[in-house]
Amino acid sequence: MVLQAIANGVVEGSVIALVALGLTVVFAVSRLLNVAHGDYLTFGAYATFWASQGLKLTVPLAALVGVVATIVLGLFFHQLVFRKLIRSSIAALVASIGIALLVRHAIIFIAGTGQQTYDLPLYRAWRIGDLRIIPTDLAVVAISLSAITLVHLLLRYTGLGREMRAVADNPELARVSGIRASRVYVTMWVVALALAALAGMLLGARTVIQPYLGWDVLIPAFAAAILGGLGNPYGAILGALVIGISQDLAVLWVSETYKSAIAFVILALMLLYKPTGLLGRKEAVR
Amino acid sequence: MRVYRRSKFLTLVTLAALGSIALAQENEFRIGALTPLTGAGSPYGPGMLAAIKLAVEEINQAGGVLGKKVVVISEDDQTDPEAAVRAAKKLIEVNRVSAIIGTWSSGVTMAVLPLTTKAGIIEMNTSGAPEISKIGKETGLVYRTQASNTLFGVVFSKVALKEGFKRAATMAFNNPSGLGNTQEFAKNFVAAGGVITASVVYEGGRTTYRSELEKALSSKPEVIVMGSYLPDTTIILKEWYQLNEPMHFIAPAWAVNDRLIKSVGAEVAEGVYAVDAVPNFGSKSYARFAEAYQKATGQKVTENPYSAMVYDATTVLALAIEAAKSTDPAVFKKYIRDVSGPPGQRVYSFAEGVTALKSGKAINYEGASSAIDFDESGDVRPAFGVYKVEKGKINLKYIIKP
Repeated sequence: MVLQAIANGVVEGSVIALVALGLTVVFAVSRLLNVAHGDYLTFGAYATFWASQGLKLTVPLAALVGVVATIVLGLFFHQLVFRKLIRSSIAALVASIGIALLVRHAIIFIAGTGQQTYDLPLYRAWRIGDLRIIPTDLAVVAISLSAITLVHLLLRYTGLGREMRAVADNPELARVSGIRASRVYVTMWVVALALAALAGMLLGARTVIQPYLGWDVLIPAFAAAILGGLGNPYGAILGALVIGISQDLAVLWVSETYKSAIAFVILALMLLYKPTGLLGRKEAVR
Repeated sequence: MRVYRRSKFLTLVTLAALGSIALAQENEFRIGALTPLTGAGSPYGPGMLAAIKLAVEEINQAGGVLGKKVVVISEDDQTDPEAAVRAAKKLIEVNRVSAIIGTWSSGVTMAVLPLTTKAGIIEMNTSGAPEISKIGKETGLVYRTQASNTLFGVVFSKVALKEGFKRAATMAFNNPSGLGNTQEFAKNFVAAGGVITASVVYEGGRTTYRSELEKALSSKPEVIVMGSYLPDTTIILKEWYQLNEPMHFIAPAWAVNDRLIKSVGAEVAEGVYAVDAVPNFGSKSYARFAEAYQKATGQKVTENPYSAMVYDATTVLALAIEAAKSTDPAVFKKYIRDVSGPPGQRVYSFAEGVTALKSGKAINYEGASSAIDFDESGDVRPAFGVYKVEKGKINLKYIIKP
């Protein structure tokens, strides 16, 4: 049972990790707590659904359309709103709440509040001893891991990634060394939005597609990002796994009613004893 | 001088306008329709609103209540207690309605009740939470035309025993309705000799219920009884199917419907039992309402039993006002039980009821949803249908009278 709960936690954590990674990348580069991230995720799930229904595409192909559509939507709001609010993270935060509501209610207006599902087959679980592994869950973990690896490679080994890290480290220094901020912002959004759309598609495939899909996952994802040290991509992934696993273990030992509260208990303890998060570092104060 | 004259003119116009509004308001009786047009209840809310309007249309065609035209003001409760409270406040304070009809989710009804009670107006709902009975008994202002969860629990237990199950686990959505259903089931099931192997309670809006489901499955029950809604039931059934462990399910019919089968596929849903109150099939009011409802919405009443429930609620409300000869809720509330239950001449429509009342007879309204005999808590006892999903279709297997 313990092993099974950990396995379940890893699956849940790997989806939260995608969402938390997107949040943390945006925060690292632009100091924006993007509340609209959850609704971008929902949009990705719906865009994939519409592409698979309307264009008669298979779900993996439709997911590509969904990712592109989400990137277009997010860049549109960047051009229209966030670009002008870069200097005030509070104004940008409030603006992101507005965008979140706008996107969500546009989805409700178009698609209604009823649930939708992708046309995907269900596979029976494999049994390994007492452990039951659902093939779909394995695919979810694999897709999530691949996406995380891609982001890692981008950040570590490409010029754009180096520029993003430079801006995250010290925007002033990056500017005087000739890094063009606009290019970095666009890259940041493309990465975050692609992650959001992918997470939306995976969540939609595991559960049902409905207008509150992204909103419901936003809080555990924020908790994971803060737990890992906000702005640290690797911390976000670690935080997501910690939250995923501890929630499922909680079902065994505490009561399943308090599953959601576990994330907050961990977060509160973390902020009390190590406010910078698991992998966060102290910012120099002058 | 000119300025003075103009302002005097404006004052006169304003006064005249206010006067005509006041006159219009005196000539009408306002009820608030507070239905779930969006949110988890959205498959039912629009049909419920249509049914309330159908009832009001019939009432107005028969001359209105005490000669006043009945007017419906509609708000969306969004299946969300917070949104519902805001909407109810607006209906009570701005529109000054004398009754609120149509709250569906128990959470919504429980949130709205303190407001309607304080305002001293009638609240008529289709929710199941047992607590609503207590409040209704105290105030005499609360009436529900849906069976309470207590009754659902009795019926769930009867179905489980009839189908030969001895060991049952429960899975409940953590709200008054989900908990009410499963707790009342457990009480009745244990009293009848059954064993409860696990009682799992889960939070809504989650991306997976796998650990919760495995907790229920690992207690080795023969059946899992659900107090659930559509989205969570969809996810739980999908996960259960993938886990490949044979199990039977009994769930409320608002969670097991055509949408569920479309979402999970016929194979996954095969054999799931669904339980819900059935309309009053044999009655004249059902025949009339079913036809009018299908014409107005293109939907069958059996697809949305709550439509018949709010139709009856609206009709009974109007009959009570006629019997009381007053539109004051404090006065006519005492007549709601009189016009709907025995003794008295059975009537099947508002027009029929008014005619009988005018000739001085006592009446007993027989509704489209059930016989509508309110007990002292404002509750009804409808008959229940037990459905089973077979090859992608939901078939009515038998009817239970609790």
